[in-house]
Amino acid sequence: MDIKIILCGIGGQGVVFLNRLLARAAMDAGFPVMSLESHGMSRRGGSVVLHLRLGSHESPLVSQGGADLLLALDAQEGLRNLSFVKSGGMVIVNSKDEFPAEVSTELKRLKIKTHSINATELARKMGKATAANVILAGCTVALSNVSLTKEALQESVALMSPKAAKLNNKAIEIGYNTF
Amino acid sequence: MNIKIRPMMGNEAIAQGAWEAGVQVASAYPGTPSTEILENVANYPESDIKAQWATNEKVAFDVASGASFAGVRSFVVMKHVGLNVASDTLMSQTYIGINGGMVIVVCDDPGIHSSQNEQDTRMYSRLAMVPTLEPSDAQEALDFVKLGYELSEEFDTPVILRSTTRLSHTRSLVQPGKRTEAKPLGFLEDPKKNVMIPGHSRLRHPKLLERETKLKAYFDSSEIIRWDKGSTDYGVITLGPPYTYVKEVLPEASVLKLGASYPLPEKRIREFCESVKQVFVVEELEPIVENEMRAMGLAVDGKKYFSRLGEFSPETVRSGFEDAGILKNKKKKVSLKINPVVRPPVLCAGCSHMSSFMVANAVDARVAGDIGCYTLAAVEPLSAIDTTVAMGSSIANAVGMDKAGTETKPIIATIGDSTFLHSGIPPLIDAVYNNADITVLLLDNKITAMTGGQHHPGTGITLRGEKTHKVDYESIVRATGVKWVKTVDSYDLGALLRTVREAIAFKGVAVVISDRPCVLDPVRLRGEPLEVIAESCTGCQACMNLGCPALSWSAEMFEGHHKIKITASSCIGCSLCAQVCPTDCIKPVMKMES
Repeated sequence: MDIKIILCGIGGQGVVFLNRLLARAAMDAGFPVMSLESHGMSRRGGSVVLHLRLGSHESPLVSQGGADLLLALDAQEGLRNLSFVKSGGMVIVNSKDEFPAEVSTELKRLKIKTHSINATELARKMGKATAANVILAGCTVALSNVSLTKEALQESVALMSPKAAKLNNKAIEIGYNTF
Repeated sequence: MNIKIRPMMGNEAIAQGAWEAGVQVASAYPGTPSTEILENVANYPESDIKAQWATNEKVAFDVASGASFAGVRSFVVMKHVGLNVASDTLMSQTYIGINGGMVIVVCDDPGIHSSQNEQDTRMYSRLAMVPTLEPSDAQEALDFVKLGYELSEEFDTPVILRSTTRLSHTRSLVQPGKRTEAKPLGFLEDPKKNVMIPGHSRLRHPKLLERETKLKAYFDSSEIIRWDKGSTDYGVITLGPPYTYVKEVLPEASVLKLGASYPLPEKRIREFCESVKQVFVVEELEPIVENEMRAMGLAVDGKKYFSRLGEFSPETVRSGFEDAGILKNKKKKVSLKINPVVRPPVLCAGCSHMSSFMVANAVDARVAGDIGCYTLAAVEPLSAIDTTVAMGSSIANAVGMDKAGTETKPIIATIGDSTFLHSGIPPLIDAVYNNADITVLLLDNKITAMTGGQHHPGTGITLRGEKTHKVDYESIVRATGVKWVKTVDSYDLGALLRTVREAIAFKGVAVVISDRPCVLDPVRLRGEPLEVIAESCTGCQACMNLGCPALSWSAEMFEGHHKIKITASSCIGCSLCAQVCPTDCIKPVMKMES
């Protein structure tokens, strides 16, 4: 496995946790991992973009048009970072809407698959509105090119935050089953 | 027993390196991207390392120097611009050398993610003639800190370990090791070495030149200058995180990886240049290696293809080699034709800085700003700051504006609590001493907020979370000779405005302390959220001038203007928007009766 992922969202949405969770799960499964966090000017409410590389020791910095996967916790931030995704790559976005028609056309032209999922709403219904990030992690392990199992992800999340293990397990299940 | 490999952020690995090296005293002032280093050092037992926040970088450096004089290994950390503050000490310490080993970690910020400039610390290495190590990943960061102490003690010199944002904040696998206790040497009585008066300094300067020669020879045979043999058509000399980009883009190239950027290993560089037909230097920021190679009489290309601006990425490195004709131009990239909105950095919902700058706007002041979260008040919608220079500049900037005599507006200096303690006190003394007529707005949010919530002497809590003396700002301000000082609740806009007006009317230096804790640190504040009663909202936008991210436009209109809505999940109920609302339509969220 050598997968380059861009994770994005707004400060406070749990993008950093999502990054650490996927990194941790890959590491627990014995894959080399590198990830990169950027800390901007804003404490809350600013753009957050993280680079994560699973299965390689090389630079984690993903080039424009170089990402296999874009995980967007916010639709606008997803739009802003679409240019990272390579032709044939995948976008998973937390949004109640599809991307605007002209964007979808562009994505089709570049053979980029998109998966819109209203993770915030699903998380709210589940009883933990802030678990949208973990739902997206669940989506990620459902992808065929990501060699991580749902169960392994659940084990890792339990190690990272034992108190919330039950709800997080549920969130992973929900994300996994949207595919 | 083997210690398990685990993922570490570059900054965490640097801290681990310091602990393993047997460091006994560590000090720093927080600054992105360096902050987490000392925070991580504080995770080791106090019996191993005394770790403490300093009031500024020079103080931090002097604390480390003191520990070195006293014969233990010492450690000091700062961001690149922090070294400007500490540079006076650096320039003497390099003459003195060390007793206990000393490593200075300096984190550069190419690309200016969160700084006021992108200066290159390697310039200071040359100015101070201090050996400088350049790790490329977290494992090297750990190893190089330990190597730094060996070099420091072998060559009698402080050692700089240079990181950049990309290294400090990249997480990768690291093999931690055990701590080696270094036996304290005790104070070394040697005034000719330790007391920098002209007669002694003149004796020390030649030692620096000797040291440089010895270090050059050392690096010429050191394994941290690594030669990855490859194609003989061209070779690349590089250092730091860009090494990983070069390896990714040109896996076949011959690469000379400089684990140290000062002094340069001239012999190795010459050998490398002779072994390949063409040589490129890939270095972020200034053309330092390139220029020194030219001075050696070597033919080299660097900044012609790789910018002096910003930070590199595999992409910029690739495009540089494309321009140089080494790589074929890739097929024109099919790029997305989308222009999404840019999300500017914002203050937090309920941030107490909003009211202070709302008031500065209300009195139509000329505002000399400073460094902190509140610098964000310089952008729309507050647009309340006229100048921002460096840590602690605001007050003396205001003094100069007053002395220039050209200003018709009232002059206000705005400075945060941590910045005030860092370097705001000497200019306040200066303002009183020179009879300036200015108002200082001391924005006391009771934490070093911008770097993620670090304690300082104004919070009364140490790095390790222990209680200590808490600075009383009013007493400090009065002790400088200020006759007019008042503390006001930042959330009481009316009182804050009246007080600032009084302060401006006062002839001389007046200080208003705008007093409310940060909404995020040390505890995340939550309160009952407010809502807009849409029927009464006239879309006047008065509340939008606060720049609170909990406020946004609703789809409903009033006479062609958007009405306002409040995002309940962000609102902490500070009530500042309710206080500025002329139609009184912002109220606590009505609880449904069951």
